[in-house]
Amino acid sequence: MQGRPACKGIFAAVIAANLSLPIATAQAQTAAATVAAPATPRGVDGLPDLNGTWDNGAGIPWVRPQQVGASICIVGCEEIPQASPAAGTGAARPPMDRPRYRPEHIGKVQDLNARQVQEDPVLRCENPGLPRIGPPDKIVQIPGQVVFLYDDVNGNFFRIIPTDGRGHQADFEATFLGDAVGHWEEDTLVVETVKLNDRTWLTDDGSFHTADLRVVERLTRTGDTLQWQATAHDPAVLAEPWEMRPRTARLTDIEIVEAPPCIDRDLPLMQDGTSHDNPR
Amino acid sequence: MNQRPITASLLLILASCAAKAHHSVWGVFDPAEKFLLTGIVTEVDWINPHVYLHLDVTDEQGAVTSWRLETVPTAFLRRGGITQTMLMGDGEPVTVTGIVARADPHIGWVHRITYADGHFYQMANEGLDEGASQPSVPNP
Repeated sequence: MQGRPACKGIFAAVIAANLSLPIATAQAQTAAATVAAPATPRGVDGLPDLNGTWDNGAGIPWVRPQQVGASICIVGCEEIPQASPAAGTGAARPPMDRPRYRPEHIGKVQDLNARQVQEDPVLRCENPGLPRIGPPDKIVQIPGQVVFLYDDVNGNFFRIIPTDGRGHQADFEATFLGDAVGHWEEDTLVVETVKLNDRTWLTDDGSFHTADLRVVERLTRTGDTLQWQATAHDPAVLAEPWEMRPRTARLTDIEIVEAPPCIDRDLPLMQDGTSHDNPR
Repeated sequence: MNQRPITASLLLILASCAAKAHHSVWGVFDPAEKFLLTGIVTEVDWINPHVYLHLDVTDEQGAVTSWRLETVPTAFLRRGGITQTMLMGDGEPVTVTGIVARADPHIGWVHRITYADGHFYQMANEGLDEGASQPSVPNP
């Protein structure tokens, strides 16, 4: 809290006076981390079995739900009153992962960034596109094909990815998630996607791309975790391929569901035109 | 939990605790303008990208003010096991803390909602700007 000390005290006192709370700890998580990871399951073809629902935390490290009795904390759980003073203010946010642009395009990126509220398609409930959509939330894997399902705040999306050796479709017209084909490199599923329309951004800071964007994703399962890493290739505008920071998803029994409508009500309330702080 | 009425004067004190907060990239809400309300949840809009609670707050003169209180996406709540029905509660008064929208004094972002029996759902850091306040970094 950024309030003056006196006010901070008043606020804290009011909260403390109105709440009597048990405290969650991370002890259970620590203990779980010491247990050996389960073996990676494999299919009859010997390939890693990627089937399952994968919780990637929406890429937001400070969303760490905890339940204590009937109370539930979604964000900032370490700040529950009476928690350890050393608990801090929640998970630190890592530096933003940004692509680098050719000098002649930096001005356009900065201009779009300054007008994110007016320009960012994600803020208008559009498909975030690839790679901004992140790792799949569910994978269905059958011989010759994998299906990626997404439970995104902007809606439910899917990708059908052949893994039977066929190439890209010659007559495919560009879409938000493009035309993908996959193959295996040892235990890693490699997915190459092209024919991505140029209506999406790579991140929330004006990182535009062309319709020649090519994205290569690498997915590797280890036990009950799935690592996803994507690299964006767009040499016309990027100074170098953008190798995104890997993200780790964990197998979960919380099934994805039909997405509720995406209806943004914030844009008319924006006062300073700054970023909506969408962390993707 | 013994529910305490939150007086208008106390609310005023809290609301006046404006601070020189560092810049929040939340262009909608002011982390320096906090609210603490007691009222009745009349409706929950279970939509993305944000869920909304509608709260009717009755002041000491009996006047009712309706607040629209915003919180995280449905997927975040689902990960924690919070449903639309749970947010609605049982019709008893709830206490909600959070910060006020810059453009509308009766729109807010929820820090925590506490129900009459004392259980609560927390959807943001107490400071409401930590973890969400990193300015955009221009591309090199």
